[in-house]
Amino acid sequence: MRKLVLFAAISLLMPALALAQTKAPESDPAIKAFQKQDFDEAERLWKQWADRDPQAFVPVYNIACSRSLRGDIKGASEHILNAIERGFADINQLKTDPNLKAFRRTDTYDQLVAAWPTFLDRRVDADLEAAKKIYGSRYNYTKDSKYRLAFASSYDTITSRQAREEVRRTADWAIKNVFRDLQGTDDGLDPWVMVVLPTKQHFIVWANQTYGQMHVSATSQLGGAYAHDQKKLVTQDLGSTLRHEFFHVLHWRSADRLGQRHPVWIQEGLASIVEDMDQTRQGRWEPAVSWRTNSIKRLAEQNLLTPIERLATMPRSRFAGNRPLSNYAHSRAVFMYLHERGKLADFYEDYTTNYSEDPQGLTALLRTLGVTDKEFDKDFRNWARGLEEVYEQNSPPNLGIGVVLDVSPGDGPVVLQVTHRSAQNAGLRPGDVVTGLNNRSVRDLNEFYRVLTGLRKGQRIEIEYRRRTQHKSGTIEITDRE
Amino acid sequence: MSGIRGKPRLALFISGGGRTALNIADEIDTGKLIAEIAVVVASRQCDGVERCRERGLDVIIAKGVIPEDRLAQILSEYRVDLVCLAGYLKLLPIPDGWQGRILNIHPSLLPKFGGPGMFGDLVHTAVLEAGEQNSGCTVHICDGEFDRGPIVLQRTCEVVQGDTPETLAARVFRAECEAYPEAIRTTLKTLGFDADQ
Repeated sequence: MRKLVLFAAISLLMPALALAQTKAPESDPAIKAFQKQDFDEAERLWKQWADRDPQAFVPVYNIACSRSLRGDIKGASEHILNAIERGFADINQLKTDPNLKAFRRTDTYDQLVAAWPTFLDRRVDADLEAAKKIYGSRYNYTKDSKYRLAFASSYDTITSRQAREEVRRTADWAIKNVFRDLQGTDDGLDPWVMVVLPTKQHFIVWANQTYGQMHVSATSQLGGAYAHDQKKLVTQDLGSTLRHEFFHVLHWRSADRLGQRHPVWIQEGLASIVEDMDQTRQGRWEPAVSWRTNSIKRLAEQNLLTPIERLATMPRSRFAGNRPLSNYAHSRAVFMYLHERGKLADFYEDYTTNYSEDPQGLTALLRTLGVTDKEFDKDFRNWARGLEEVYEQNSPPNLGIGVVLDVSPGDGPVVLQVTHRSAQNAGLRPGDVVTGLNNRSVRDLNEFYRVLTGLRKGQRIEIEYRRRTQHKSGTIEITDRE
Repeated sequence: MSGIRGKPRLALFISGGGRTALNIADEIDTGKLIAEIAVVVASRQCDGVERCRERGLDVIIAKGVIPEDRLAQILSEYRVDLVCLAGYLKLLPIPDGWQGRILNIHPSLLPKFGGPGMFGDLVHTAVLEAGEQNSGCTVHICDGEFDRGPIVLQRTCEVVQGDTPETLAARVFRAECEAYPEAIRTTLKTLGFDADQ
């Protein structure tokens, strides 16, 4: 049986969106009826949902479960095939769902399993064709067979390539440092994921459809989201949001293979770790201090950190509802702390191995570090207090690069007006998109201020920017903030 | 004062989307503003009501202009220390003892483009029509009239070529996100709350 899974990570204003996933009013009563073995009522509600939304596979899949349980094998097979037509793609669920035990004894099931890799390959091609119809010929369409991703990008060739490289770099880091279980999994059984990097207009259409207008209008800062059921990642922010959401893709691959559902603090904490990455002096690409660690440092200094035991057992509604920013920041920092001690992959392995006794992951965390929860809270607080602070949005430094910048999500801050001669001399014009500063990538305003940390007024640094499809660079002077 | 009074308690007053209120909640959440939100008061059933409730905040709806005694009652019931109007479109009476403890934020550089009927995009349209080079926001103490009273702080931003009321509003809102928490911190200090408690 399935519930809709929709994950959003919005760098700034998460709260409203993470809750906006109640698409079908009959979903909960149907599950309740099913649990009471009132199969007629459950099927009736699911059928209503399926009739109303011809794209939805969740209700059809659930009807198949119900039929299989009732011994109607033919009905179960038909509904499974229909669910697949509608987009269902998780072979692991098919293999392990206890409700489908009877269905798994059919020839249909054996044939499906044998043909699954071919089926997935055909599906991604069909999905790409469908995307071409929606987004048109001005997007560019590519596939990454290694990580089983299809890209539909509204950006120019170079920006699109940069985004694909960013995804690969994130995957390489994640598989080396967290998901060692995904090393060498090339059996062709992971569903392909469609990564859409849309125009602003397409993004708004998608966001309104997915979350509803009320929630979208709450923020102009929604960067993107990954909808696991649809196997679709949509983001207009090519920096932290792209990395965060793509991390969810890998995490779901790992969890689906293991047949596990990980709690929100692990999902969001791990995905947040790649939001801010930097090159170390040794040339490694590693999680960096950011506006999120700033929060945790401040909260640690004020003795306001939530005990780890409470963080680890928090349900999603509370985690993303009441104090979302501190919960995201806190979980991210816990995994940075583990990573700094070289124990992140060990934790994930211990946790997934002992998942059935410890689904929240608290025991695995404490065992990996060899401490009690009280000791952990104390050590973690001291570590957090010592974190380096960086500049961030909302309390930025009195520094700038002599331009007025637009702050809406995209491939970088957009120059609206040039106010300082140095920016003019560097060749900047209104409409240019700043994509890099001081040899570091700059995709949003938090990154912009973060890379200004440690720089001084009057200093000259490298700037990279995009003017329509042309990518340019120059030297620019640090000025007072506009 | 620290340790005796605990964290200062805010009441936020809204009439629309509640973005300003949520930004204050974010500032508290990330440890930048040491305070707690005691209650959110909405002048009508608006999107902000639902958003604030999703955030776990206590919200009450008090339609229309709140009578002075009702307001005094709410503020004492929720043990409020400071009132912050956050996109609140009704005139708020000032109960006895609340002079200097009610803040408002306005999306222009007051005294320009303020007063009755000057709210939301109407302000930004007026700024653009007047050909201003700068706009910004003002946090001031309420004195019982629209957009009047001593200014706590202002933050400016540029008006750029090609601005529409929407693009200017977005830039001014960013300025508001910085200005309001800072003004709240300043005011709390003058009310005797120690920022480094």
